[in-house]
Order: sequence, then C-alpha cells, then structure tokens
Amino acid sequence: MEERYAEVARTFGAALERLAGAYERDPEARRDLLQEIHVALWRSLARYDGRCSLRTWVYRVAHNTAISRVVRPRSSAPSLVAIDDDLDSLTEAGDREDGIDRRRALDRLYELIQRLRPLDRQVMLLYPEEEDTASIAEITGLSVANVSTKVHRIKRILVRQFHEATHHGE
Amino acid sequence: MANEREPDIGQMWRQQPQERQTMALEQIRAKATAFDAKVKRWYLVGGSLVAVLLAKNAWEVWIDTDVLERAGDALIFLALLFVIVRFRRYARAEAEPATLGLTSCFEHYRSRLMRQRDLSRDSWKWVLLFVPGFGVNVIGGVMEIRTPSQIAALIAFGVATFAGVLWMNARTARQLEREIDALESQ
Repeated sequence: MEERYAEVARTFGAALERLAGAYERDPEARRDLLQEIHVALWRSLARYDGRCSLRTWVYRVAHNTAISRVVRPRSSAPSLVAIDDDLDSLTEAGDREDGIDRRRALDRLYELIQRLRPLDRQVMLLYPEEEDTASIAEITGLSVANVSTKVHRIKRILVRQFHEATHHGE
Repeated sequence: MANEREPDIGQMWRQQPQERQTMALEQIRAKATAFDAKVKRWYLVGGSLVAVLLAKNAWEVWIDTDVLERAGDALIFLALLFVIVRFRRYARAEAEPATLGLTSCFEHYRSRLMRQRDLSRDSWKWVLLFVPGFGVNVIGGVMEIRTPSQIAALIAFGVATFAGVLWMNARTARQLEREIDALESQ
C-alpha cells in the first residue's frame, strides 16, 4: 500500500495541488486541504481493488474529500451557478481585458471555478488535466453526453475568457 | 478531444507555479492518528456529557417527591436514550475516507446533501422528544408559585422558541431540497 501511495503521490501530486488550490484560495487552508486529501488517499488505497482505474480512484477520493470539506450547501449553494444556465453571467464581455497576463488569467480561472456548482467545478477542473469525456464521466458519475455538453460549454467559456490572455502571455 | 481543446489554456493550467508540497509517510500516519484521536475525543466528550445527563435525570426520578416532576424527569431520560440511538445511526452513515474512491462525485455530493436535508427536516423530532418532559417538569415546578398569566407567558415563550427553531430548519431543508433537485436534473 505504501508503494502504491508513493506512486500516486509522484504521479498525481501536482494535479492534486492544483485541485486543492481551486477549492481553497487561502494558502493555509489550501495546504490543509491538500494534506487532508493525501491522508484520505493513503487510507483509501487499502480498499482499492482495481474495479476502476487508479486515476479514477485518486480523483474521486480527492474531489469527494474537497467537497466534504469545502462545499457547505447551506450557505454556499445559493451563490453558486451552473455552467449550463449562467454562461453569459460567467463570461460577460465587458468584464474582459485585452492585456491581462498569465497570472491574471489564472486568477480569473480560479475565480470562475469557485463560482461553479460542485459537479460543474469538478468537470471544469478535470478538463484541463487532459481527462477525456469518458474518464470525467466515470469520476463524476455524470453521463458521457452530459459531460460532453458541459465540456463544450467550458471550452466556449475558456476561449471567450482567456484566448487573448494566453496569447498575450507567450 | 485534443484537437478541440484550446491548447494554451490546458498548458497554462498544468504549468502554473506550484509549491510542490509533499508529505512523508510518517507525516501522513501522524495526521491520520491525530484525526482518529480527535474523533475519539469528540465521541468521549459527547458520550460523557450524555452519561452525566442520564445519571442526573435517573437520580432525580429516584429522589423527586412531586409526581409531575418525577414524570417529567423520566420522560427526559427516555428522550435522551432515543437521541443516543438516533445519533449513533447518523454518525455511522458518514462516509469513511477509505470508501471515498468507491463513490462517484455525484453520488457522494448527493448523499451529503440528503443527509443534511434529513437532519434539518427531522430536527423537530429531536426537539419534540424533550417537550413532554420539560413541559411536565415546568408545569410541576411553577404551578404552585406562579400566577396563571406567568405560566401562560412561559408556555408561549417555549412554543415560540420551538416554532422558531422549526422554521429555520424547515427553511434549510427546503434550500437543500432545491439543491438536490438541481443536482438530479443534470
């Protein structure tokens, strides 16, 4: 189990750090969440029986841990939005700047992610990690068609919001 | 999919500066042990508190001479026992870290919402359990030394507090229900 954990930490360490950063922007809270995810992973690996890929397992544990800790439905639910319903509110053209750099673009991406409802947030986080639609569906439990729709919308948001920023930062 | 992707955004995401925080296995074990100890402490404190309350009520049932007060204490004692059983069932339903990989994010989130909704929706049952005991106790204790209007005011205050708690919990349950509906409609 310890070898498997070491492998997981080596392979997914960076992605888990990005994931924690997307749930918690405060550095101290982010470190706490990341540690909590690692502890949950270490504990969970004893139960890993290969019924899904290790990748799916790791992302499920990480996202479920983050959701349990960070998303408190009572207070946060009303202010969160869905990718499907609020595309325009997420990407108001007037809110864009032409000359923003990479750092600003990343900050904006994090802001965007934190405004999303939990499952949309998870899809939004898995997509830039180069997860394909089927993998995202397996991790989140959404249908492949649903994930495809969400990914399509995410692409539109990202292109509208960050196209200029990413080219500017080159 | 790679062709559909706006490539720079994925790269930008994956190549962002990071702390590269690592945890040694000893550190993870220590954290896990500390977490278990914290949970045990919490159960111990909660259990001790309930044990003290049970003992206090059992003692009062034994020594009280007033029939109404005695009946009130006995009812509170029974209510406490029932709460212990319900709480144990609720605590067992909490997902353990070891099982988080078995559950999809959708199922996990939905089960958390449903659990919180049920807790809010059923809170009246928890509060209601203590109403007969406290009611009988209060009536037994104040009947001889208070005027009827004072007793009525006390009862009105108790009912208003109870109704307020119920209203807040029902509101929370409705919010959670809407969130569950939105989740399931995806």
